Amino acid sequence: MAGGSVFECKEYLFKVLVIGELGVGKTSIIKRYVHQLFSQHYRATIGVDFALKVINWDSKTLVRLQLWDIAGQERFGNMTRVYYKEAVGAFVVFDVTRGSTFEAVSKWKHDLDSKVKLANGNPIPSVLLANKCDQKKESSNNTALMDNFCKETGFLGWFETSAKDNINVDEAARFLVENILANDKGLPYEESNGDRIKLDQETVAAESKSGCC
Amino acid sequence: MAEISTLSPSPPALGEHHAAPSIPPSSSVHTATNIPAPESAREMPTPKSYLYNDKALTENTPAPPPLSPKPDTPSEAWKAELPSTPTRAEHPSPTVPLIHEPELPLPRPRPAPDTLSYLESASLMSGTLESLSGLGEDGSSVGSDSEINGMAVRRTDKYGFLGGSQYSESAEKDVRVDVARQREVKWLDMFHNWDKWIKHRFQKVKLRCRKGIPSSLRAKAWQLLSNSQELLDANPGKFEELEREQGEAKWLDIIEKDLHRQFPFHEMFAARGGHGQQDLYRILKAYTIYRPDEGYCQAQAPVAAVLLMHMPAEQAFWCLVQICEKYLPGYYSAGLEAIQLDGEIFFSLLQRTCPMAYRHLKKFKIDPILYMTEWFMCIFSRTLPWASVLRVWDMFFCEGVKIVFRVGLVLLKQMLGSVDKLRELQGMYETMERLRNISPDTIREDILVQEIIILPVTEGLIERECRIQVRKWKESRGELTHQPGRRLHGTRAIFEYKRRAASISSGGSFSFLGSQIPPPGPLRASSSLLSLPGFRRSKAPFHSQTKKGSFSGPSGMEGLMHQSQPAVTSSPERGLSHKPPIPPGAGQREQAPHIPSTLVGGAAGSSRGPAQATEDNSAQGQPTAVAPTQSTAPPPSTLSPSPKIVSEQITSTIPSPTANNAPLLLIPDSKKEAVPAADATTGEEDVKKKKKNKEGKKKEKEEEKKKMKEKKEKEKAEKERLRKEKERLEKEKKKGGKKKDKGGGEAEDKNGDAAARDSA
Repeated sequence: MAGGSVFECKEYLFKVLVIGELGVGKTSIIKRYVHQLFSQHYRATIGVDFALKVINWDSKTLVRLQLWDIAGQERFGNMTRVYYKEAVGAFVVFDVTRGSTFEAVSKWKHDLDSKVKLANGNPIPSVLLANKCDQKKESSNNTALMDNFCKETGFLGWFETSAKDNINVDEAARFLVENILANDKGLPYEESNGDRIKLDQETVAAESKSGCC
Repeated sequence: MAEISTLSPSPPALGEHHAAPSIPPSSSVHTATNIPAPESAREMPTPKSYLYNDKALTENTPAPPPLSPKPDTPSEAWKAELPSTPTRAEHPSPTVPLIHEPELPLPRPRPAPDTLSYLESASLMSGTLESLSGLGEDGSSVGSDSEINGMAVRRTDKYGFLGGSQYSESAEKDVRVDVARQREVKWLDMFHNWDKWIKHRFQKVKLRCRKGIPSSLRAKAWQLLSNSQELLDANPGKFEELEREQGEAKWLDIIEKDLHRQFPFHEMFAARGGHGQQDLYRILKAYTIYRPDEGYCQAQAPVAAVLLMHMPAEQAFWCLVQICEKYLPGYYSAGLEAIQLDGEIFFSLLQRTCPMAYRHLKKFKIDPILYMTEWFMCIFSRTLPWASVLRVWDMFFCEGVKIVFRVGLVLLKQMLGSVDKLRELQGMYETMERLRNISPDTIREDILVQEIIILPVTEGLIERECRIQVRKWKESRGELTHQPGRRLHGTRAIFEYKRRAASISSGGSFSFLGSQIPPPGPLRASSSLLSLPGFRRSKAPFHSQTKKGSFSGPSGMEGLMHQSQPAVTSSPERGLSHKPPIPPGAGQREQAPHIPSTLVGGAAGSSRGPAQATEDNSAQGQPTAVAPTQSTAPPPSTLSPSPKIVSEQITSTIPSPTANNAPLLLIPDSKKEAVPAADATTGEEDVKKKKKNKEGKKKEKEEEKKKMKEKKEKEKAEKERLRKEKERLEKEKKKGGKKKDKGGGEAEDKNGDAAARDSA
C-alpha cells in the first residue's frame, strides 16, 4: 500500500498453518515473526492460537498473513481437519536438538496433505523449518540430505531458524508467501480477496446459506 | 462424614493465604540474581506442608483480627487428617525431575539441550526466575532484559501472579472482613457435617459455592466437593507408590516439555525446576501410571497447576483424578472426542441462549472447537481473570460441567451478544481475536457469576442435547471410538453415586459381591442408614439409566444404577444424566469399555484405621474384592471391546470409590472370576500381578464374547433378582426407618425438591 495508488492495491488474506511436534517452538516462531519478541514464558498451546501479520509486500500488494498456531500434541491431531480448513500454506517445524521431532515431520506433512488441498488439487505450499538452530551442537553439514528430504516429502524448501536469535524467520515467511502468491496468479482476481481458495464445496455452500442472516 | 477437621479460618485480611506474598509456596523463588535483600529474606524456604496447612494464620502474618471460632482444634485436626502432607524433604529423589534423569530411559540417546538446561537449573535446587522481567501481557513484553532490575521489586498479586495477563492489577474490592469471617464459620460448620449437608441441604451448599468459597478454606472445600478427599483417605500410600514407578518415556517426555509452560507468571511455576514445576511433574506423571490408557494430555497441566496452587501434590492428584474421571470424563483421552462432542452441544445451546452470537459464529464458519477447546479443557483457568477463575471453579466443583457450559455461553453473550459488538467483528479473525483476548473489564467477577447463575442451562438440557449430538455424530462420523465413563454433574451426583454404592454393599443382601465385608468404621452404620432413602429415591433420578448402555464407565456405576433400578428398564439407551428423569435414549458416550476404575490401591480401604474411616467405607472397602472383577468382566454392553482397554494396566490403577458396583452385572459367574482377579490386584509382587492379570485378560475376552450372548438373558434374570432384593431392602427400611432416622423422609423430600429445582 505504501505510496502506490490505493485503487490498484491488492489485498490478500492467507491462512498459513504452523504445525509440528510439541515444544519445537511453533509459538515462539510466530511471536518472533509477528511481534519481534522472544520469551521463555510462553504457555503451551492448547487447541489452536492465532496471530496476524500484515505485510506490505510491494507497492501494489498488501498481504495479511493469518498464522494458525496449532497444538503439537498428537491427540489434538484429531481436530486438525477443522484447523486446516482453507489454509493456503504451511510451516512444518521441528527442533534440531531433538531427532524425534524431525522424524515426525513426515507424519505432519502427510496429515496436512491428506486434509487440505488447493483448489486445483495440489498440496498446499509448505516450508520446513529446522528451529532452535542456535542450540545446534555439531555443525555438521547435511544440506544435501535436507534438500533431498524436502524434495521427497514435497516441501518447497527448508530453513534453519532460531526464534530466539531471530535467524531466518522473516526469510522463511517471505519464501512461503512468494510461493503462495505464485499459486495465486493462476486464479482470477475477484477471488483474491478473502476466502480465495475453495477447498471444500460444502463449506462454500454452507456459507452462502448462512450468509443471509 | 465422620470427622472433618476443623480448620481455623484465616483472617480475611490475609487474602489468599496460599499465594500471600509473605509466604511464597515455592521456597525456590528467590534467586541469586536480582532480588534485593529484603525480598529474599521474606522468601526464606518454607516447607510446603506448612504453607498449605493454613499456616498462614500463625506465621508471620500481619493478621489483624485473630479470629478462629475454634482456635484450638484446627491445626491439629488438619494435621491428623493430612498426615502425609508431602514436603520437599519427604519426597526426594525418584520422583523429582532433577534426579529423575529422564533422558536415560528414552530411546533417543542425545539429550535435548532444552531438557538439559532444565535439569541444570533444577539441579541448582533453587530454580531460577529467568528473565521474568517485562511481565507484560502474556509474555509479550517479557524478554527484554533491560528491565530485569525492575522486576526484583515487583510483588505478586494476591494470587501469586508476578505478571502476565492474569495478574490482578488493583485490589479488587475484598469481601468485608466480618462477612468473610462469617462465611468461614459457616463453611467450617459444613465441613463438620459434610455428608449431611450434601444430603439434606445441598441447595445451601450450592448457594455458598456460588457466593465464593473463602480462600482460606478453598482447598479443603474443593476436596470435599469433588469427593477426592475420600479417594485420598481410601488410598493411603497409593500416590507414593505411583511415584515410585518409572512411567512411560513417551509421556514423561511430553510432560517435561510442558512443565515450564504452565502459568509461567505465577510465582509457583515461574522457576525452572522449582517446586511448583516439580510437583506438577509428580502428579502428571502419576496420572499416566494411574491411568496408562489415558496417558497425558497437555490440557491437564493447567488444571493440575491450579490445584497445586491450593493443595499439596497428593491431594491435588486425587482431585485431578476426580476431574478427569467424574466431572469431565473423556476430555483428555486420546481422540478428544468428548470435547468435540461438547463443542457441538455447546454450539447448540448457544443457539438457544444467544441466537445472535450463534448466527455470527455460523456466518464466519467458526467451529466451536476453535475457541472452546481451551476454555473447557482448562476449565477457564487460562481465560478469565484469576478472581473469576476461582469463583468458577468453586461452582464447578459443586455443580459440575454445567458451569463450564454456562461460563462459555456467558462469555459469548458478552462478546458477541449485541449488534454493536458485532459491528466491529466483521471476520473470522477479528472474532477469534476477541474471543481469545477477553478483556477483564468485560467480565468482572460479580457480573460473570451473576450471569452464570441466571443462565437457564440445566443438566437435563445438556444431557438431552448430548443425546442429540451423539446421534448426529454417529450419523456423520460413525461410532465414537472412545467411550468414557458417565459424566457426573457435580457434588450431588458424585455423592449419590457413592451412596448408592454404599447402600448396596451395606444392604447385606448382595452377598455375591464377594466375601469382603465392608470395613468397619464409625460411618458404616450411617452409610447404610443413609443409603436406604437414597435407594428408594434413586428411582426417579436414574430413570434413564437403563440396561443397554448403562454399563459403562470406569466406575461401572451405570451398571450399579441399573441394578438398583430393575424396574426401570424400558429406556433403550442409557443416559448420562442422572438427575432429572430423562427421556429414553441417552448419550452414548458412556458405553465406555475403558475401565478406569479398578484398583490396586484398594487394599488401602481395609487398612484404614477406624478413625480415618469415612462414610464411604462401605464403598471404598470393597474395591479389593470387587473392582478387579471389572477387569475380568467387561461391560456386557461393550460391543467391540478393544484389547487396549483390558490391558494389564488395569492392575496398576486405583479404584474409584465406587468401583465396587461393577460386578453387579456379572452376578452369576462373576464370583469365580473375581477371585483370581482380586488376588492379582492385591498381590504384592508386580510380576505376579501382571501374570495373573494377563490370565484375567484372556479370560476376560472369552468371557466377553460369552457375555454378549448371554447379556440379555442375564439382564432379565438380574432384574428379576434385583427387584426382589430391592423389595427386601425397602421392607427393611420401613422397619428401621422410623427409629433410625426420623427426619429421613423429610430430608428425602427436601432432596427431591432440591434435585428438581436444581435440574429445573
